[in-house]
Amino acid sequence: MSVTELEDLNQPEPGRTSRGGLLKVGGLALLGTAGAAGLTAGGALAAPQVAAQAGGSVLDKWTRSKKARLGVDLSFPPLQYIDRRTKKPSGYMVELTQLMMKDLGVTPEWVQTPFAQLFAALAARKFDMVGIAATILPSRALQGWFADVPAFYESNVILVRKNSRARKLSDLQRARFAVLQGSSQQASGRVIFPRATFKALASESDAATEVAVGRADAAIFSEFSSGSLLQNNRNLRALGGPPLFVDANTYFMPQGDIKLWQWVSNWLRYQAAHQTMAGLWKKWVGPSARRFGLATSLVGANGEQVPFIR
Amino acid sequence: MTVAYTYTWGPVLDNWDAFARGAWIDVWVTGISFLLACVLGVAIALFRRSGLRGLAWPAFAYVQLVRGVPLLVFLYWVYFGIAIVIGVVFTSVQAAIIALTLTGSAYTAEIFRAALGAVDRGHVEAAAALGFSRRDTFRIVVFPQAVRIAVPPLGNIFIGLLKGSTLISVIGVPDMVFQAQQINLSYFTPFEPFTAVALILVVLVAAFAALLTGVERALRLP
Repeated sequence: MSVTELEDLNQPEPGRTSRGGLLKVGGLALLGTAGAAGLTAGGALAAPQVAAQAGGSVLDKWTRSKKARLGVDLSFPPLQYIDRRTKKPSGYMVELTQLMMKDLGVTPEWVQTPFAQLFAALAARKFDMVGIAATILPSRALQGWFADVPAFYESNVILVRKNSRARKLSDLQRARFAVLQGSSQQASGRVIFPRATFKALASESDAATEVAVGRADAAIFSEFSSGSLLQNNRNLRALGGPPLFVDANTYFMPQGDIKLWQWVSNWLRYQAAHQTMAGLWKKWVGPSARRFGLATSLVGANGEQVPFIR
Repeated sequence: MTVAYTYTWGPVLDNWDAFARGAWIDVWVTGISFLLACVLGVAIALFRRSGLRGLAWPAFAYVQLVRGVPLLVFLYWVYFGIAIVIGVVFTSVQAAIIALTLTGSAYTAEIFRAALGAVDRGHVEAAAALGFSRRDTFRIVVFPQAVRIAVPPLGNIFIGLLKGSTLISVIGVPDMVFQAQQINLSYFTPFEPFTAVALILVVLVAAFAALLTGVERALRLP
């Protein structure tokens, strides 16, 4: 499958004025602000739905045009990143999505967007679907649909300084943690270590630097990020032991597109049964998990979590 | 194709206290940085006007360099760069104040330099004729007039720094943008929390603009 050139988020779609669209969205947001107090009683989540366009499923559009515009944040190696050698998107999620597109007979067009802006860009129709997986959070599910089968399981591990005295979780009860802002590590870490302090930063490498320079005692990362972080920060080590907790991650789709949701979920179930995700995970995440002794899990034949025996 | 967006104001309203705390952080971090930037700016302006090459040139170079470097880069340099390179570890608030002060000082220096230059030369000569020392001439005659001239553009710098302070969340300062990003990432609701940030900033800027007008009126010569 050929990978088309990366598109900048600023490039408007043919025949569509992106600035105009932005102004519309901004205008709606401002109007929404004015009506917010009246519409939302006591912080309830119910609010009017803005259906931007009802012209059929994204799936139909793809099969008609043979082209799919997918929003991706390519800064999470080895999950999704730009390969330095080929200068093309690469990694576990890129390969999985490419397989999906191949089965549809569709060419993917990658639209690079920072993770924090992926949903805004999807709502603003900068692309058709988010081409990478997101952690399934109940709060996020209020705004869209997660596929029914995980694309991967994210095992979360703790990194500390090499000279840290911490050997087990109980040594970190009152520790200063650095985490990625808005991540499940931030939310779950606070529950697991209620007496610890948490500092949330904009990127994983910033959080790792926080530990490396001694401003934080430990950081919580997914095992797939930990591999490259340990490689780049030689004065860090994994705490070891089983994962702190495991999160399911999968594709996130616009609410209401049941045809797309059903097809993606079905496709993932088929690939889970055929061990496609397990095989890709061993290929992309297995080596660093082995090298640094990181706990990791595979997607099992029924979509269940299967600890990876190294 | 169906793309739906459900306005979800609940998380914003539920976290209004976090937004208020975040806005307060932005205000006081900006306030301290602005005061320090003014002090530094006066010093740099005096160096530039000193007529001594050894002082004027470094001051000129400082202004050119600092004006060219984006605030975001300063934040990363001060917070991460200094800690990695020389091992001096600032807290995120300290780093934010240093970065904002440096950025603001280059602009305040230029404002004070222009304001000092705008004071009527005749007043200086009159002070000299009355037997004022150079120091007293500056303290009693030149500086108070320069401050009056500098107040309106300094107000713009303050507002610029206040808006610039919305970047400090990148180094983990829990300001209002940090709170907005937190809600965005947890609920995938980008418009509502950032609209709340915009509204808070509009109110703050309007309040400071009114305060500035009052200061200008109070300093106006009869």
